[in-house]
Parts: sequence; C-alpha cells; structure tokens
Amino acid sequence: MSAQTSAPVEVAREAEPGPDQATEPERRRRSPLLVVGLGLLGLVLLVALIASLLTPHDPRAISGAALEEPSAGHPLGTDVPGRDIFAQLVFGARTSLTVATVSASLAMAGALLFGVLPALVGGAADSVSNRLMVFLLALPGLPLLVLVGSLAGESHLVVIVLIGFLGIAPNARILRSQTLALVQRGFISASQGFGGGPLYVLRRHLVPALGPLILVGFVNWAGLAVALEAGLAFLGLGDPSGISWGLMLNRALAQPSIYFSPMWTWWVLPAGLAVTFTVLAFTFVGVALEPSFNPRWLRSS
Amino acid sequence: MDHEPVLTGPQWVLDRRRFLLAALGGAGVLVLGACTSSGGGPRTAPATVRLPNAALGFPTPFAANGGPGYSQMILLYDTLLWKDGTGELLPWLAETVTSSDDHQTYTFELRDGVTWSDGEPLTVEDVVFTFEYYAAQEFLSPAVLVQPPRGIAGVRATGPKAVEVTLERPLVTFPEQVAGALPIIPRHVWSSIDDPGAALDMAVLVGTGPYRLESYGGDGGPLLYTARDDYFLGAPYVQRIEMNAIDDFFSALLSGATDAARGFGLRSDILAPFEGDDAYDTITEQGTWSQVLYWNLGKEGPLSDPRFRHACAMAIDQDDLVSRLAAGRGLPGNPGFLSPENEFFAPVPRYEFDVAGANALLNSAGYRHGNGGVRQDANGAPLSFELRFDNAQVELGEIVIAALRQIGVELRSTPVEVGPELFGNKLFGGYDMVVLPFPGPAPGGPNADPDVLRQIFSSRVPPSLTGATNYVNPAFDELAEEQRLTFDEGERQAIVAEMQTMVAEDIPVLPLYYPDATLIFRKQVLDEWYFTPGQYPTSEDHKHLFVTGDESGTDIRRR
Amino acid sequence: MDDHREQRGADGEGAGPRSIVSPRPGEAQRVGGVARESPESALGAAGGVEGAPRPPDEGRRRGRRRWAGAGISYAVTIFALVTLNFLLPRAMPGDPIDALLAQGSSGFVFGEEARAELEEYYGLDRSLAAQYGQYLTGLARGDLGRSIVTNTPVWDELARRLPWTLLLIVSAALVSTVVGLVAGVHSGWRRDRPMDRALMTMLLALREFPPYLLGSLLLYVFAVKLGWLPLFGAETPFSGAFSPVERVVDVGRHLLLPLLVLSVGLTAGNYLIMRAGMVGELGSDYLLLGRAKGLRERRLKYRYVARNALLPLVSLTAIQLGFALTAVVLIERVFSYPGLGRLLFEAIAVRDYPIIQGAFLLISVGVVTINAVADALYRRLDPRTAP
Repeated sequence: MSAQTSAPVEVAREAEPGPDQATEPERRRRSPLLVVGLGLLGLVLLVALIASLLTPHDPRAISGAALEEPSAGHPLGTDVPGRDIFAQLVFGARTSLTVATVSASLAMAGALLFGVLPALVGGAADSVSNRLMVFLLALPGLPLLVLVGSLAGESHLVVIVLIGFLGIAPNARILRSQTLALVQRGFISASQGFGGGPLYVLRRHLVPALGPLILVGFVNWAGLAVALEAGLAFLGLGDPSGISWGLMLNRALAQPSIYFSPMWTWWVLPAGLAVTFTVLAFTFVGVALEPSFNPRWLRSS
Repeated sequence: MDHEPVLTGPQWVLDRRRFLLAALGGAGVLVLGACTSSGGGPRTAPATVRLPNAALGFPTPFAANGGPGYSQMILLYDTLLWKDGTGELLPWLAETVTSSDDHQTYTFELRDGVTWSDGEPLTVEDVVFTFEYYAAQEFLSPAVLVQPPRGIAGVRATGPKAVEVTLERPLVTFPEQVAGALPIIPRHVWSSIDDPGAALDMAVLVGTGPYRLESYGGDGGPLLYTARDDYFLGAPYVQRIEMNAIDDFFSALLSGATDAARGFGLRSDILAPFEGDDAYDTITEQGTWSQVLYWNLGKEGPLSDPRFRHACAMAIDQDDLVSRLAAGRGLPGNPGFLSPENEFFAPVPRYEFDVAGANALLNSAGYRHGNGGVRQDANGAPLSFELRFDNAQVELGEIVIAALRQIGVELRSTPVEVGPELFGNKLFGGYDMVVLPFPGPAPGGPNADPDVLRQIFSSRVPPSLTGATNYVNPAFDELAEEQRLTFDEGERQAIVAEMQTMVAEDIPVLPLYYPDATLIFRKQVLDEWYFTPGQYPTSEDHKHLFVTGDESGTDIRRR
Repeated sequence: MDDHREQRGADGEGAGPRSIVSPRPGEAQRVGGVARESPESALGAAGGVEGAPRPPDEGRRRGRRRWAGAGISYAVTIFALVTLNFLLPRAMPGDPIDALLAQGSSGFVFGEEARAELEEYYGLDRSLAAQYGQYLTGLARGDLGRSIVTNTPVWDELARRLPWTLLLIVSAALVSTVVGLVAGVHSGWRRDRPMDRALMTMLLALREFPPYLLGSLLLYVFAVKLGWLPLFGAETPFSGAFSPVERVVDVGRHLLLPLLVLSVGLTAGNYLIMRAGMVGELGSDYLLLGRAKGLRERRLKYRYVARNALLPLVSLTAIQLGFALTAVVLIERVFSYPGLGRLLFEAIAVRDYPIIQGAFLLISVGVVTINAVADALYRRLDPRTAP
C-alpha cells in the first residue's frame, strides 16, 4: 500500500534538514485531526445509541405548546406542532449515522465489486467495468440526486441508495489502481502459482493491502453522505416526516422570517452545528488516515 | 355530460363576492351608473409601490398563473365590471349595465374614450371577440388549466357602444364571476393567435388596463409597471409598481426593500417590530383561507360512515390547531364550510372537541377496540387509513394523526409534495383521507360567493381537485342549483343556510382552521390598503386601490 | 496508490479529472523530478522516475489515440446523460399530466377528454420511441419543451438564468484558487506548524459548515441587521438610471455574499491540493540544491516549489467550475440569486418537470464538459502525459 511504498522514500528525504522533521507514521499517530475526529464521531455515536436516555420525549410526539422557548422540560424548546427540538437533535444523530453507514457501505461494496474483482479477473471484464466506472464518474452527483429525489417522491431510501451509488465509481477507480499494482507486483500470481486459492489471496494479500484504502474511502463517503442528505432535506427532498438534522434546518428556515425570533439560536444553530461537526469528524478521520491528504471534496461534484 | 355546469366563471374568480342586487330588490332590472364619490384631500401620490412578489407566469389572461398571477395580469387589462374595497361591483369598462327582467340578458354600454395601450380605441367588436375567443378555448391556457366561461348562449353588438350577452339560463353569479372577471382582450392582437398559452411575446401585452408592463424578468423574476396617463379613468394614483422576487417578506419590509408584505397566522415576533413603529400599519382579514380534511366517501366501510367522520371531527381540537399553526391568529373550522366571515355564513353546530364523546360514538357505532389500541369495523378490518398531506403541511398532518390516535384510529402518514401524487390521487379518488389547502393553487375561498358550496359538494359537478369526492346528496344538489337561479338575496341566503346545515351534518369534508391574513405596509408610501372582501388576499391584488388611491368609487384621489 | 496517475495515463481514456486529486508525496516528487522549473536541469532529469525517453513518433501516435478516446468517451457520456434525462421521469412514479393538474385552479373540472387533449398537447399520447425521437430532434433544435407552470420555453428560462450563475461560479473559482493557493503554499511550507494546523482546521470546518446555513446567517447580519448589503437578487431591479460604474458596483454588492459562501466551499479543496503539492515538493533534490546555493526562501517558495506544485491546481480550477455549478443549487436559493440553481429549486417546489430536466441537462452537460476540458488541460500540461 502506498504508505509502505512512499514512506521509506520520504523518511530518507526528511532525515535531512527540511521544514518538516517528523516521520510519516509518527505524524499520523499523533495527528490531532485523528484524535479530534474520532472523539467527535464517538460522541455522535454515543448520542445516537443512548438517544432515548438523553431525553424523555419522543421526537415525533407532540409534547408541548408550539414554539416554546427553552426550558427544563424542553432544553431547546419546541417546534411548530410542539415537538421537542432536543429530542429531534439527538435522534437525528441516528438518521445521520444510518445514512452515513448504509451509503458508505453500498459505495464500498460496489467499489469492491466493480473495482477489485474485475481487476483480479482481468481481460474484458476489467476493461468493461472500468469503462462503466469512467462513465459513472462523469455523472454529476448533486444534480442527479436532485432530479431523482424530486421524481422519486418522499422516499428516504432512494436518496440513501443513490448517494451510495454515486460513491461506487470514484472508490472503484482507486481500489482498481491499487489492485492492479498488486497484481503487477506479482504477489498474487506468485501465491496462485504456489496453490493459494482465491480466498487465500484475498486474505493474505488483498485485505491487508486494500483495507486501509477501503477504510479511508468508507469514512470519506460517510461524511459526504451526511452532508448530502442534509442538503437534500434542506432543499425539501427526501422523507418530510422523518427525523433528521437536514429536515430540522428545512423546517426551521421555512418559518417565515425565522431570524425575527431568537429561536434560531436554539433551533437552527444546533442542527447546523450537528451537521457541521459530524461531517467534519468524518473528514478529519479521513484526512488523518490517509498517508497524504486526499481531498474528498472533488467527488462531491 | 348531462351534469355539465351551465355556467362556470373563469376559476380564478371563485372568490368574488356576491353581486349587490339588494337595492333593486329582485325587480329584475339592474342599472349601474358611474359612481360619483368625491376624492380625498390633497395628499402626495406615491411615485412607486414595491411589492415582494415575483412574476407568476407571463401576464396575459392565458399564461398568468393562479390567483397572484391573475392579480399581476389584471393590472394590464380591464373587465366590464370591477370590485372596490367595499366589495361593491363598479361599472368599469362598461359605463352602465342593464339586465333583462328574467336575468337572462345583460347589456353593457361601454365608456367613451377607452384606448388600448397601443393607441387603438376599444370597440364593441373587441368585447364580442373576447367572449368568442375564450369560448373557443378548451382551456384558457394549458399551463393554467383555467376553463373558459360556459353557459353563454350568445354575445352580439347591439349598438356602437352596446354589447348584449345572453345566457342559457339566468345565473346569479354572472356579473361577478364573468363580467367582473373576464379580461377584455384586443381583437387586433389575438385574432391571429391560435395557441394563446404559448403567446409569450411582450408585443401581445396590449390591454386597456391602467398600467403598462415596462419590464418582465421571466417567471419568478421582477415586474415593473408604469401608469398609463391616458387611462380612461385618469392617470392612476400609483405611478409605478415594482414587484420583486423576495423570499423573506418581512425582513425585506424591515430593511426597506419592499413597501408591503402579507402573511397568514403570523407569529408575534414578526409583528412586533412593525407594531411598535409608527411608520407601519397593519390590516387583517379573517377566514380567507383554510386547511380542509377530506374523507373519500367512495370507499366502503368507515370512510363512508358519517358516524365515523363525526368522531374524527370531535377528536380534533380546532382551537388548538389555531394556536399551534397560526400562532393563535385564526378561526377554528366551520363544518358548514363557509368561513364565519362570509356574508352567507349560517351558524351550524360545531363538532366540539370531545375525545370521550368521540370514543363513545365509535363504540356505539360498533367499532370495537382491537389489537394495539386500533379499532376494528364489523368485519374485523382495522380502522387504519392513509392520510395524505402536502409536504408544507407536515405539522398539520402530524397533529391530525396524533388526534385520531386517541380514538383508536390509525393514520399512516404519507406526506407528498404539492404535485402529482397529492392532486392526482385526490382527483381520481385514490386516497383514504387528505388534507388540502383551500383554496388550492388558485384562489376562490371560504368567504367567496356561496356558489363555492355547489362547486365543492354537488355531485352534478364533475370531480375537481377540491371537490368532495363521491359525496352524493340529491337534496343538496337541488338546492345548489336553486341558489344559482335565486336573485332575491334573502331567499338565496335561506337556501345557502340549508345547504350549510346539510354539509355540516354529512361532513364529507371538514375545514380545520382559517389562519388570519395580515398585511403590513409602510404608511408613507400608501396608506389606504384594504383586503377586497371575499377575495383570496394577495399583496398584489389591489388594482382598484392602485388606480384610485381610495377604498371605493372610481374617482382618482387628487395628488 | 502511487501508480494512480500512471494508471490513468496508461488507460488512455478520460479517466476523469477526479483521479488527479490525489497527488501523494511520492508522486508529486516525480512530477517535480521531470519538471521544467528545476534550478539545475541535470539534477531534475536525474530525479525523474519516468525519465526513460520515448521515441517521439510513437508518442505522437499514442497522443492522437488518447485524444480520440477522450472525445468518444465524452460523446458517449453526453448521449447517456441526454437519454437518462428522457428516461428518468418516465421511469418514476407519477404522471406528468397529474403534475399539470396540480397547477390547475382549485375548481378545475376534469374529464377524460380533457386528459386526452392535454396528452396530445404535450405529445404524451405517442409511443415511447416516438417520444424519444421527438425529444432528440427537439433537443437538436435547442427545444427543451415548455414549462408546465408558465408555458415558457425551457431554453428561454435557462438562458435568462445562465449568465448570473456563470458570473457567480467563475468569480468564485478565481477567488478560491487565489486564496487556496496562497494558504496552501504557506501551510505546506511549514507543515504541521501551528499556522498549518490552524489553517487546515479552519478551512475544513468552514467547508463543512452547511453553505445554506452560512448564507442565511450572513444575510441576516449584513442585509437585515446592518443593512450594508442587499437582501436578494443579483442587481437592483429596474436600475435603468445607473451609470455603467454604478451598475458594476451594484452587481458587485449583490454578488458579494453568495460569492463568499461559494468560495468558502471551494477554497478548502484548492488549499489541500496546493498544500499536498508543496509537501511533495519539499523533499525534492532541486530544492536541496537551491537551499545549498543559498537562494532566498521567498524565491524558493514561490518561484520553484509552488510553481511545480501548481500543475494539479491548474486543471483543478476548471473542475472547480463544475463543482460550483452544482453547489449553486443550494446557495442561490438562500440569496434569491436569479441563476440556474434558483430556477431548479423553484421548479422542484412545484414539480415543473420540463424545467427540472432542462436545468439538470444543462448543469450536467456543463459539468461533464468542464471536466473533459480540465482533463485535456491536464494532459497538455503534464509532462508525462503530454504528446
């Protein structure tokens, strides 16, 4: 994997006096980005898991008057029908993490199927699937999401699946490159020559070599999925009766002149910050896990 | 189709209030002459009024979209009659209008000196052409799906300035919904146009109206109107009207980017900065708009059982809806459908909020509690239905679902975007229960002419988006036809009252609440704002005010 | 991962510019190695990994084949988009006629004849193949149909909005490139120092802050509370009396906030690329040599290192346009900016399918085209892939 191939070179170079003295592995281990990112993700995960312990309210149930100000009973007040905003915030973490996990899993599973597998088989399979990926890569993501989202109606599932689908091509490309490199380096043909079955090859060579890349791809796509889902919900696409941060923003900002009232500080801001920090956490982890910084943003086009 | 309505006004005019015939006491002859109210004292005329609305379609009668689109279009065109701020129909392009004894023939005498904006004079041929041109269209526009007026037997010129309109049968709504709404169009422009909905060239914008359109920034873009100094009533009071695409009306009003803004059921924090400031004033109108719950009566079982619908109505706390969804500014729903502000409103018993009573009613009707607290009907089928509502009304949907849960009725929520699913399903009866705004995409409304009752509830009217699906009550249908032919206001009032009682008992639909419409405006710019009675309130809908500067009459306030 | 780029080069087809956004240290070194800007060309050649020269003839042939491949791939993509745009709405639940009805007035009286008439008006009564043929021929004539809400030709609506969106995205791409470049150079030069960490955290955080929320807050502060900037639109409407200078200022004042929000989203990407490029360059031999020769730091930083690290950024700027073109959907909505994104948003709200499809087609063809251009640009500039 790239860390193994590039790090020695870098270490050798950087042993000489330069602007940066740290070695790559060291730098990663003590990367504050990783610590902060994992910390934030852990927090979101914890909130999602124990959401029902954090609040006595059902986020869908009407538990107060409309637009109550924050109080002991409703730490962030209530929304228009009178549902607890804090409850929506903590249960929204579940939605976001679900969207993130499912979409990213789909993306990575698809990437394995269309990136790694054809590369191992080689020949026409590889060339056809690669061409397909090149085409998919060229599809503009957000407009496609908007088009399908508006046509599909209020289905959350469609959005999740589509976000995952859009993640297949870019990740498949990366994994394919790496697989081809492994194949070329001859490890695989060698072990096959020694009678190693496909499973053995997979376990012995592919997983260790591709694992980190898959992890990084997963984390990056998960972050993107959270941002995309929130953005689509804000646009009014997706399931309008669900509980999610994007939907909270959509509802809050749909209030006429929300900024006339201080309620934006306990309604708009928490939801916005929750999205920001969750996406940021994924980004930090993704950035820190990569041997070098592989900006994720381009895939969002 | 034997139940084809005899006469349907263009649908954007459902909302015009009744035509004032009271003074004539049903004598059968109607004469309206030019009003002679005196103008106000010398005040500075506003050079420009700015409004926070973007263009809704191209402003011809064939491409303008919905109610606000109509309001934008009608500034360029005129009608034979037009309504002022008191709700009175004034002679407008017509100097006088006379009706025959049997109310079947109306004769309009046109004013002198009316010119089209391209300088051509208005002629009786234009008026005759207008009626014929509309009648030839299947829709006024495929985009707008407004239907041309029907039930007109003939239109002919009877003199150099006189046009006679003969109806297939007398209709009380004709003056308001047709003569007071149909924009007169120039023959020399439209006679060569086959697809009027696709005529979107600035060159076709020729009208007799008080304003010219100087600039059209496309749909959703800004509109600029300038007054025609050669307007037949005199130079209009407001000289320039700017309409801009603004999302946040009240921020725009506060920051000075617009001069008036309208909202429904406004929160106190929005009103606060304006109420504390002398520069602004506020007017409010009640009962102009509502959210309505529909049951599909075409489905067997509970949905077509009035006791079930009564129980549903009793389980929904309508006062609570007003406080939650309209910040306390609104009225609870009237099961008689017309809003309490409608002149034809007849008090009918409300379904008071009473969960215990609703449960008792369902028990006595044989709907027993089954598994999971959901009741079952006699066949053991659970009382579980799909409730559809507009995406923008998710809050209302949630409240209704929670309310019916209390009486063991399970509603599966299916919020849908405004659009294909909601309306398509509503129209074709493919639903259990629906919450729809009324009036929907186009105006009309719970305080418009009571003929709206016929259009919603009569089984002789073909299915429509807002119609009560599969509601059949022959006695009601009879009354609905009768009120259209009744010119004595007292008699009509009595018939309409009876119709409301029937509807309230059967409740095929239930208005849930009516949020108040509030218009906030900058006094210095224009201080005489009013809501036209019976009209769906939009902030553009003030043609009479912009022209005259006053609430009533046709005299223009002196500058 | 290191061979990522070579892989792409060897494929010989438009791998999509996305694949160039992972300039890893080792990789960037090689770019530096063969680069044109080494202080000492001999050293540069020595550092080259792919230094083996190809016969010039073969290179040209390969180059031609590559261009042809890219062209075909582009054409196929566009055709697929066009077809997708036709098929998707028809594959989805919901009937366009129902959508039309939703625009109708509340009391609209409906019958089957009316439905048939409408289907005929919109050509929906024909077979799918016939509709597709009609769609393609229409498209060839620039006819995207008419809005079902306003009856306006879709192309007219798009053309009205396009200039504003172009103004917004081009200026945002420029701003974010310059800012990202400077910040990236500084950050990369002093990797892992407090300045680097602060810059990176800040830019990433700003990027992840939902743009629509950032926009709303800025709008509230600067337009509503302070009243310094206009609340909506792209220009003061009906500003006929403005002098050219006043008009430019007016447009600029309207542009400022949307530009800011869009640039914030784009800058982080440029920054990361530039920073990674810098980091990659730092170990280069020519740099050591330069240091040894006692060249001034600023000169080294900008003249040599940044210049070599710039390569990915050049094509990146083009891709930025593509990304910006999609981001405007969210941003224009907040600022009531009358561009394509706003049009798309309005169309979604009323499910005006012809407009949604038209905007989708325009935006996606735009993105694909810009990407193809970026890819071509990259081929030209990259010494290893240039013909």
